[in-house]
Amino acid sequence: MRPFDPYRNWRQVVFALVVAVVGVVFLVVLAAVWSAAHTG
Amino acid sequence: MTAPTEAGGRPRRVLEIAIAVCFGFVFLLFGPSLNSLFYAAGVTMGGLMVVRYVSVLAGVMVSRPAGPSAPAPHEEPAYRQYLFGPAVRDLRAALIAAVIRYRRDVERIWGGIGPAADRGLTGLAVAIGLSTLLIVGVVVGVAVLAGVMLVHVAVVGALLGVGMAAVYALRAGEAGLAWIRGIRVACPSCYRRVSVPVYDCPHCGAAHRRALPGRYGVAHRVCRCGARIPVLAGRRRLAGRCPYCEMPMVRAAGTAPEVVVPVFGAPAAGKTRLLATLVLGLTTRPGLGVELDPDTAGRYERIRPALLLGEPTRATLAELPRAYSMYLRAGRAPRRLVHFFDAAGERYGRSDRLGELSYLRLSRSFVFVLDVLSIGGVWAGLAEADRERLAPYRAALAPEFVFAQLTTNVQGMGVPLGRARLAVAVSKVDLVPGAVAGLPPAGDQIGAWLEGPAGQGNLVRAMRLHFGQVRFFLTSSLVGPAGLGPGASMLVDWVLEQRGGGEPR
Repeated sequence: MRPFDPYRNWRQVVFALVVAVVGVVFLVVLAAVWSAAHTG
Repeated sequence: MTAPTEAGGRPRRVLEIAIAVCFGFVFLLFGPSLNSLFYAAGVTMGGLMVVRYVSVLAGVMVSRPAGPSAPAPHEEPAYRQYLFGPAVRDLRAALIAAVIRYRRDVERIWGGIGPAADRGLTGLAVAIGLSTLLIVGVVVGVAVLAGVMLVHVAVVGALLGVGMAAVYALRAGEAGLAWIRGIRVACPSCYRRVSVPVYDCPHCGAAHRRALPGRYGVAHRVCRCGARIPVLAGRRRLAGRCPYCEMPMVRAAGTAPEVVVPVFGAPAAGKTRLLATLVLGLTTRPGLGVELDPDTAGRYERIRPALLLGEPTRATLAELPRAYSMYLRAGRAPRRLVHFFDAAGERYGRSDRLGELSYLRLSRSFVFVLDVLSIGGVWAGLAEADRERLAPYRAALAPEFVFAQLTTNVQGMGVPLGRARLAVAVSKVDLVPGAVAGLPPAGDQIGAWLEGPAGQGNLVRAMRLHFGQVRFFLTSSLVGPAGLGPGASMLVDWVLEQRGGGEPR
């Protein structure tokens, strides 16, 4: 049986938000680096 | 020699292979140049950090989360809301774990490069080149790790900010709404003003003393037993207790404006009977929705037979009496919770005990029961035989003394009596019908009679001096088959004129 965790939903929400923001920021930075590498 | 494995049996070469593949892919993508090597090193280490942080975070928050810590003994018996404690704990755990993993990763990669330096000049040159790339990668990786951590901190901080704003907005909204609707909650047992009743968990009975939006939850809280306790309007469905005297509050307290009507007078003046008469009058009035508090209903049912048979009611105990509480809904007017406080008359003999009746502070309507038998002129006018027969029913203290005690104490409590109203119920008039012959059941003529023939001029003048509004009623100790007498019925009308919020209409 799954142990009692009153925070399960909130943890999933925070995890999803962090992953989403980090993913988006990483892709944006990557695109910026790519662009800088090919214009320089 | 076999490659060392992790707990799951996967070869530990996965990291090296992934780094090599990623490095090669990015290098090819950026084109064959020296700069591309550095870009590839940075992107590879940066990407590794992102993947590492996400995997660490998944471990901390999804696959192996720490169990909830039990509520501390001095705290509420509830788990803290995630954002107000555990989120910061998780953040700290993820940050520490990510830094440790990063250090291990760098040490492993460095461990792979080091031996190349021992293989002659070519090896040394390769090792120096790879070390340079690693240094660039480590610097980029540290920056990426810091950025990812910052994102986590920002997400938690933003949610915490929204949560705190919601908590304060909900609290302010609730307080504002209560103020607009004139809702002030009073304990019917100790008469203190109660901001939040104590709510017992319906599951385990744990006492939640501050069931408001806060660190334990914005809309609800989780009891230590796992049950959900609402902290917004839904909490009022639970049975509440007074935080001061621990006695039960009226059911659904806080959902309607409360009107506090103290009924005071000398011992044996007929307060208990008048109260029961008022309850009878309210419950039997057509078109009026009356919902008696269960405790009030029980006590009223015990008094009702004596009331209908005209027998004496028991003297109220000298300890603080519990109010007669009921919800009233008349027509389109908002529902009100009316508390009639049956204060034991013995209290009025001593100022120090009267001070205990702190509910007087909440009152803007007062009922003064004036025993007609205690009026000197009326008593003196009775035949000797009547005096002997009625002596057991006569109030012990002079009405003027009782009234002076009350006004002194209530004014000492800071109650603006000039804005309050007073109903003077002249009781037991059925016992001496001749004395009040010709008087109407209510009105200023009764006041004029008290001032004139009854010899209570000082008392009536003091009443008019202290109170903003004074009304007089003649009330009987008997309830006839047709119901209440006209005076008691008009007194019920007077009570119904009171709206919530403590201010008379």
